[in-house]
Amino acid sequence: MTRLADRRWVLKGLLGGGAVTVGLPLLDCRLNGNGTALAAGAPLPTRFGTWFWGLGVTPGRWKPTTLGADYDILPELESVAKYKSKVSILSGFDVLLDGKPNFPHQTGGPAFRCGVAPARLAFPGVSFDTIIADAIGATTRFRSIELSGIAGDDNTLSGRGPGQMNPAESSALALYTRVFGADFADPNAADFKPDPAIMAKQSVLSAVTDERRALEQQLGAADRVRLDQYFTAVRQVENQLTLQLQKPEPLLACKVPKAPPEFPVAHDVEETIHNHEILAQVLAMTLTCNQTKVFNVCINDSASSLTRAGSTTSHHQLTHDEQIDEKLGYQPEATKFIADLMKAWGTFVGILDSIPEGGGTLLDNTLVVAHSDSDFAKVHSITNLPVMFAGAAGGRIKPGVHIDGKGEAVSRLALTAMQVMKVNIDRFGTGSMDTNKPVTELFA
Amino acid sequence: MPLHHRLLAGIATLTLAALPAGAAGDGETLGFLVINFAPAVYRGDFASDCPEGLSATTDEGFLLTQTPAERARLLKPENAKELEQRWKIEFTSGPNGEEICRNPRSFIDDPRHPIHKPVQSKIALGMNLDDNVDGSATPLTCKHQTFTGTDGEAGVDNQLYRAMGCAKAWRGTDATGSEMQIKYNAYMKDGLHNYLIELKGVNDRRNDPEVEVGFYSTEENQLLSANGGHLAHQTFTVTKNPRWHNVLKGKIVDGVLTTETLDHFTVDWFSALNGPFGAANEYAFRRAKLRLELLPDGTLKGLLGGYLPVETTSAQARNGGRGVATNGNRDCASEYKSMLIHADGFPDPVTGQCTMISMANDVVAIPAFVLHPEPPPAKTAAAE
Amino acid sequence: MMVARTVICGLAAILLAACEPAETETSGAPAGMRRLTEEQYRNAIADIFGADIEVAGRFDPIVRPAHGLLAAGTSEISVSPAGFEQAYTMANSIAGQVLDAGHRDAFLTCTPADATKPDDVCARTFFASVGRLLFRRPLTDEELMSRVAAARRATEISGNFIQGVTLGLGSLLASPSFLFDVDETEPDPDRAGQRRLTAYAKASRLSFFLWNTTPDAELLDAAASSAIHSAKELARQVDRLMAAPRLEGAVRTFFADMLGLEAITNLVKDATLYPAFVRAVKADMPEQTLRTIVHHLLTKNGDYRDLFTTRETFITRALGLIYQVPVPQQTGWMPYTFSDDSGRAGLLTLMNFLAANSHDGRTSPTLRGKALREMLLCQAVPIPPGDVDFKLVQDTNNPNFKTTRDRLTAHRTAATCAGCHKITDPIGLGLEVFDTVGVARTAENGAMIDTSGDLDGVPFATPSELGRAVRDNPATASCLVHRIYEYAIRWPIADGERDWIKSLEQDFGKDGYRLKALMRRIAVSKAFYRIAPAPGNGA
Repeated sequence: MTRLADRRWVLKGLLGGGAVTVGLPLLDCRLNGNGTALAAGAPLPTRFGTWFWGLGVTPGRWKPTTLGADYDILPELESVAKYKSKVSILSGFDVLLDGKPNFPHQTGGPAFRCGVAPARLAFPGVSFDTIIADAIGATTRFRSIELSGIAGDDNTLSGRGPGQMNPAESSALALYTRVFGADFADPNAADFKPDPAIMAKQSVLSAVTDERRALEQQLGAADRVRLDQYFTAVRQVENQLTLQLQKPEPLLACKVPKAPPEFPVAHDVEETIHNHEILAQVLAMTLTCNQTKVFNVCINDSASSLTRAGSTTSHHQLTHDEQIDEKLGYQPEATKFIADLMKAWGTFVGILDSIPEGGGTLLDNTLVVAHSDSDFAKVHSITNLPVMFAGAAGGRIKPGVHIDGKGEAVSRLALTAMQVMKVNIDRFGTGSMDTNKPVTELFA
Repeated sequence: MPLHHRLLAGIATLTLAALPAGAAGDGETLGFLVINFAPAVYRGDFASDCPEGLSATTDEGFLLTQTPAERARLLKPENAKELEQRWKIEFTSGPNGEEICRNPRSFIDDPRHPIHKPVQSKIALGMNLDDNVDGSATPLTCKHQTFTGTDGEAGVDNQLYRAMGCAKAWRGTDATGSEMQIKYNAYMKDGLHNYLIELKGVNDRRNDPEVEVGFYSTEENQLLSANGGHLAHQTFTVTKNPRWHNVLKGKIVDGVLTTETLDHFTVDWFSALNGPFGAANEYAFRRAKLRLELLPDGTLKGLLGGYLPVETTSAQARNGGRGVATNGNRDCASEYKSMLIHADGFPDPVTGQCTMISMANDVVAIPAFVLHPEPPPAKTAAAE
Repeated sequence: MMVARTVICGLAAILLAACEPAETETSGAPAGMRRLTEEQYRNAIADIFGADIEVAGRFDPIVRPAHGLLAAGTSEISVSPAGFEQAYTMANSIAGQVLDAGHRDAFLTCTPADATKPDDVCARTFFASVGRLLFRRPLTDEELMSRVAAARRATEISGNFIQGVTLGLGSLLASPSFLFDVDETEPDPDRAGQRRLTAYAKASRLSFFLWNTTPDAELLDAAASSAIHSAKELARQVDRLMAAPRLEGAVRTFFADMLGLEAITNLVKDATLYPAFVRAVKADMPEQTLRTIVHHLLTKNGDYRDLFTTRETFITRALGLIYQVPVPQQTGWMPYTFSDDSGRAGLLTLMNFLAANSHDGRTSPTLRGKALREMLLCQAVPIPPGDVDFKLVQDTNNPNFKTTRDRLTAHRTAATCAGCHKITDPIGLGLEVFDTVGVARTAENGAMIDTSGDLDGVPFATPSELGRAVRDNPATASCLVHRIYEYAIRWPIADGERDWIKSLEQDFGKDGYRLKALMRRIAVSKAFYRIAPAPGNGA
């Protein structure tokens, strides 16, 4: 490929449905010398995501015994052994209840995400991933993408409160269709013509937003909040339409994948693991093609309804009913489920790390916060919550260390993640989880 | 709920209900869906059964007609195309465009398609069908060798097994099963034809001197499980066509049901069979009887013994035309000849050639509800 | 046809019929905003534009409030960004179909002067007529002008009038005034200082209750003339709606909500252990329960409580696999009555209740008991504590428990467990003769199953007796009253409504526990439309 001396592109009248033609500069001359940023100076996007699994880890088989870098790998972390330098382990951080009940499997996850334990069986606030999406999600087609390994669009920990959760997609084909279907504008496409149909759609949406004032006047405070959410959602679609009318920045690594097969899943563990993998592959290319910068994955649900074919019981039941094997020191069948889930985590990290981007990989330009709902699920313990930070967030974070929280609140981790993602926030959490101290050892 | 309906096939819960001895009246009625109904294949010691090895497949048969030098030449990779054309087309065709699977009779004298190697060992699955144990000729049968049954029964007549028991597609292996059986049973899973069994007047499932056995066709299909397996306790209605109602008297001794012999035992078969002009789609046995074990889990397992027309049974096997010989690699003409040679039932009055062959089908059936349309079944063993 | 004692005592009463006592006062609920459910959305589109209009898309799931109905949840949810994405795509797709060559003549009754240019007059006519049906009230001038302007802009961009009004129609379908049922209110002439629902809002509330869809033309007309504010006209409309076949759809939706049937989509059973749980069986399972309910409560107008003892139901060949009875009819549904010795009687012994409240690979008496308590008796079961000490369960010498009852011994004997588990387990243990897919059994691992127990002091020895105990339990009937009212107002029941609910319960009894009578009482009542003032509600 030869380098072009300059970029040339011509924009003909947008309104009136005229075509826009762009002479495409060859891709590698759009990048700076290191390939780590676009020539115009905009750095490659930094992505953020969460990865949740239900029912914790096995005591003595997950938490490294050494601290700092090059921590030792125990059996349940084997799958990330080869990515050790890109994965940090955060142990010893606690969910603090402040007198509220510990709802089995319904407290740990929401508390980690919202910085406060729920007082009743409802999502207790705004999840920190939503705060990040609010800050960085406006410039992409999708503010955030939520995925579930098992069936069920309510398997989600991302949202603003009860009735305001972001539903999760469990079908890789449906995700693919949503992202790479008819409305996808390939950032590397040779020419770009703003679609008059989209212009027309955009022009019409204001008729919807016009209704706001008249409606608001009739509603009580609580309903006004809900109306507000609705109009926020409308704004997101308006935003998408606006973005679709602009030529997207080319992205070297973005290659439109083939559509995945239809794969119906319920909650069988092997099907879920497979489903998670194909979802992750579509997600990885979604991120690479900059269709979103924020994602939330829940591979199973908090109480883990996962089952194994031929078994009369479920993961959840096993954690409570199965006896601890005297010789092994743990519950064999329950632990098998955890092993499967941790292997899937390794697969996820590997998929992100397999996409070359800039001088490194997609994982290097991402921060993934993985966490569970409990530590030792058998006793619903929410202290020492297992948390992992994967990725280098474009160089903003120093990964590959094991840090002991020594009983500090988990909200410190959420605050850290938000600050890494450059959200303008200096404190997070409520009550004894209210903190203004990020984990600075993680900052680059 | 009638007690027998509580039996659950496939789940290890046993609820055998013993009815009081001498319970008066009708006794219970037990219904079944047949899930296995294909020629029984006894795979004993291979060296004893088939000391000369398996019979030739079509391509092997073709190569056997060539000189060793020619054989070696044709087997070279550069001659693969020529080999294929010759065994698939030339070898399976007759001089006037006949084809060995559609017109096997045209190849009776064609030495390229010899009789299959017969089974040599003494043991076979089957029943004694001709009232003697030495296989000597009777008014209804031709002289033939008999087998000993797997349970020690003497005088077992199963010439079909003798003819086909060393043919690869029939015999199969313990690991893969028999292609022929898999195909026959798949027809039933696919709903091409299905059969029902009904036992009436069962007072005692272990020992009952008088039981009525019905074996019927049904046009209705079955529901399969998510894994493609059979499911018990479905409901089926017997066909309205009285030709396919077969009722036999039987008795149960130590849990094994045996029946009298029914002279005409006919059920339907899905495809047109090459037979005499106007042959119906039927599986028409002569002198058939059943021997079925009532297993604790509620299933029936055993044999149907009887005579099938050579034409019918050969046609069933080669259903599909030349593809059976090429893709299936079965020499239909050899099969047909083998069946003719070993035929042992119902000699033609003029030529003396036996037109039927003794055989036995595996029968396995799972619990089902068998309902009857109006009018009730017509044909029984005793003259009406 | 029930005999209605609805003669109103008026000044000119001549007849010596009993007077209807004055309706119990109630607070009502504040004016609210309820999102349309997927079913209501689809029904509305089918009713307004025709059943052949394809509606394909994903709807934000409704969150079930704790111990409440999905119907009440509609007053708490909004639309997520992903949800609006879908709603907007669906809106444009529907609009495109409505205005395509095959459909447009039915709705676009005027022709534009020039097909490539805007025509404000024709556009306005169109939006006014479909808008009234979609918004369930006439569009305001502003709303009309805004759509006309939008259509104009879109026509200018696309050069096509039809395209312009198509997008304009899409904006109506994506509007919060369509997607939400908003309680519009006005000053109440009968109660100084208070507000009441407008006539159109009343019509919507009534239509969503009895027909689960937008008000039809006749109901809208009754609102337009304000006739619906009169008790007589309201009663007439109520009777019209209740006589229609559509009532069945609403009753089905109600019971599907009350019985939590939406959870069945994710129900799986272990395929190796329970191969009979095939797709056809799973599909027929909830339908059997709903058909049984509809037959008993609507067709026969029977006593609600008898649903727990009736042996009459419907069956398909697929369900025959589970009930292990002969089913003569080859396809479709046929009526079926369980024999007296079948051991089955009432909803609790039908497959749906048994399989939906049970694990993949084995039964759960706790789940079945909890389902009865929460769904059918409206009694909340406390959630398990977070710090349960499982050493008790672990610390047994030889955990060789044969039956579920044995396995759950700890539930009943450990002090921390028994308090709650005694509320649920005895009920479920009484149904242990049905395995996790609902197949009957007498033993488990060789040991006979003991189904004796008691429900709030009433002993039972078999599932049939349990059914009778449920029938006679006062909570059963009162729970239905609560639920149907919650369903009707689509709002959690407020404290100020308790007296009114109690009076409804009494009337329910007097009406012989008949659902139709109950629904009618609610639909013609003042309470159903009562608007309570909300704190901080401006206008």
